[in-house]
Amino acid sequence: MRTSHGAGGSARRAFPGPGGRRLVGLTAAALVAVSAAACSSSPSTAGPGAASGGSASGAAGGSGCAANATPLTFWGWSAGYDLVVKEFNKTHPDVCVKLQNAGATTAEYVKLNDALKAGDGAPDVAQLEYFEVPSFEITHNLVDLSQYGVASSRADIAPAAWSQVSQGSALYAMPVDLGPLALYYNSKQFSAAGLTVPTTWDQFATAADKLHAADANAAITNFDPESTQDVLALMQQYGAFPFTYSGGTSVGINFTGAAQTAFANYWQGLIDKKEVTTASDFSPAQWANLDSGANAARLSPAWGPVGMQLSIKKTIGDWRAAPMPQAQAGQNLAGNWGGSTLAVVKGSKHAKQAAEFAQWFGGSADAWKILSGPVAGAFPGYVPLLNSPDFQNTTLPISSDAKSNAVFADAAQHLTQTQWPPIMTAALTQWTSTFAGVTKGTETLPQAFQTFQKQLSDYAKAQGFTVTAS
Amino acid sequence: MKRSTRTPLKQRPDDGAVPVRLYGLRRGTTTFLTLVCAAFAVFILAPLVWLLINATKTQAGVYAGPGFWFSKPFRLFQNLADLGKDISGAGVYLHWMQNTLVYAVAGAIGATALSALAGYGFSRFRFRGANSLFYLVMATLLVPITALALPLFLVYAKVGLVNSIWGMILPSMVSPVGIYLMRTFIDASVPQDMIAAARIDGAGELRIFFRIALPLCLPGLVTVLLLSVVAIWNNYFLPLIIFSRNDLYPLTVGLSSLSQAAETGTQAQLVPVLIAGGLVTVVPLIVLFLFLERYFRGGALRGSLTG
Repeated sequence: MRTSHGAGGSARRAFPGPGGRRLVGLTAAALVAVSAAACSSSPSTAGPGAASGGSASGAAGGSGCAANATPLTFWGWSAGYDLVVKEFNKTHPDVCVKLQNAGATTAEYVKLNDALKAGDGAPDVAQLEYFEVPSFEITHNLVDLSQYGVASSRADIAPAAWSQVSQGSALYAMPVDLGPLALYYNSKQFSAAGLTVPTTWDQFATAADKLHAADANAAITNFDPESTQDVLALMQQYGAFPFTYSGGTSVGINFTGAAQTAFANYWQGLIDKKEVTTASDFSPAQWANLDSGANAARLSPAWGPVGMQLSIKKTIGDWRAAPMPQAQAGQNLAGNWGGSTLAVVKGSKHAKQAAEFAQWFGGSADAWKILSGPVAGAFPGYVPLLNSPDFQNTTLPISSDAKSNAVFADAAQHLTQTQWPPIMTAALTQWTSTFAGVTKGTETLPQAFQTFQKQLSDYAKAQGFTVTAS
Repeated sequence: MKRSTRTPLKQRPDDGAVPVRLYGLRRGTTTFLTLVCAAFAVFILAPLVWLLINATKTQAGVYAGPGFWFSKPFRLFQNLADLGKDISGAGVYLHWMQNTLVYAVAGAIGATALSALAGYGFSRFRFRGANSLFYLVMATLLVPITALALPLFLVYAKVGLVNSIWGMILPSMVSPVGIYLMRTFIDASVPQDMIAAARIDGAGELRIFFRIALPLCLPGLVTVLLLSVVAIWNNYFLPLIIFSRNDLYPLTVGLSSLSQAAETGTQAQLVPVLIAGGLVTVVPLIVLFLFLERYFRGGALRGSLTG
């Protein structure tokens, strides 16, 4: 293995030539420069963390365990997980969990796959997003947690979260947090434009017309066609979730059914009329639009406002949450974007303790006290907390004294049940390139749905699945 | 020496430099070329200026105001201080900085030593298969590293190099470009006759290498050393595959995990800290490059040794 390509380009500059008098001095000077840079940029006196095995930053978990405690390795990336692990180690002296950050989402999944293939280096417990659980389950890499009594937590977990990680009586991961969607709108802009909060998607489209007619620069919200999870959450809420899967080798993929086509036409219509923007989720443009009035509302997951209030300035205090508009009046359906689970990885020597840890992590008041706290800020899938008045009455500066959590908590109880297919890794990779044309305006959303239907079905068949279009 | 007394021009430190007007270029041409260079300079420097300005802002400030001007409040020192804390759960920036320094210094010294040995061997010894071996070394440049990712990981797992600093340092010590550079350099700067003379005088091969060849190719050694430091400093792919513990990450992988954390929405102001981290990351390389550039002028263009 070579160091990198970087050296190749500069190599052309190094003409061969003989040495000179000043060269020894220059060598020394260069070395001094390297070490001077070293000193100036790392004033810490701890010494090379790598050489010592990084004991200093290993504060994530290992410290303070009893010598005979059962060691568990836990891969996770979310903020605040280190605090939760610390609390577990304190209250469970017979187990010692070590948290390692192996990268967020896909980066971790790739590493986990590699480690499983190598048969070495996989953790005991891994953080997986809901949609990724079946992908690891189908290769028999997850431990069925029901054999360790984790199913006793069922009553404490939002049903929509539970259904995503279980098949029959088998339970492949412990749900932790959720991201139910709500209509998060700028109340000042809504009242200035004379808009009432829409309760159906038809009303939402009418409100979009009215807003755009009054101000050509204003769009009611943002729709990022390239953000797979965002679009899938909206489809779920619309009653148009494209996947069905209940274990085994048969998957349902349906992007071209009646509901899906209606969904695609609905949003394409708003895009065509420039009544929604198509900025990338979390891009500077999206935040600027929300703060300048170019977007009057955000279809926000429950974990969204926390990051949003750090990214906007002028409209802090103006934002309110309302239930999502419905496909049919009188319905109350919600969608979910994001959230994670803890799975016990097959091959773990201490699966029982690992299951105990996972259950405690997602299903105990002690863990949730920290998870929902100021550092982690996770939105609970844990029902006792969802229902607690303390939680529902919590306010954020971005919404002034309005109680957004109550709206999000209600949405969490009204999520439609979804089943993720075990091919989400490929789906996520393919999605971005297929849907890029919708952002650019070179294709429409219904066209992209058709293309994607074919691409994903072909992929699933090549992987040996039977594909049904429902 | 004789000429220098006649033409005062030659006494300037940058002897050999000829004023542009003497090349007979028209004024319009030089103006045009200068403008092109200036455009490139802006293109290259603008991102650095952006880093510098935005490292002083809050997260809302980064998104709201104009990118190339400051906004209140001034948060530079807070952002820099946050580099020493684990604010995202992704790890501590300063640890990544230390790791990068360890990898870069150890890897670059190793790469230089090995390149010098191999380059000297290829350049000054005739042995069976020398050419084929050299072509083999060069051929490794053609294999895209991404194609090797999984096999590499499986081999690493077998020999216990996953999550080991040696998994990062050992491969960094092998540099085909370095071997090529050292071979070319020694070809040109260590005269065969001088080696032959040393042999006649009874010097051993090791003595010849250390006492004669190495001092003559010092500029080459420094070049390989500095190029290796830069290459290891910027290496992203290898540490990404082999490390699953954030306390082993170098800056490249660490910053990317911080960036992922910033995207997925947390309570901490990660974006300005990420920008401050990017700024601090490039500073050592800029300092290093200033030396690299000066060295190239001083060493490479100096006249040839009469041997």
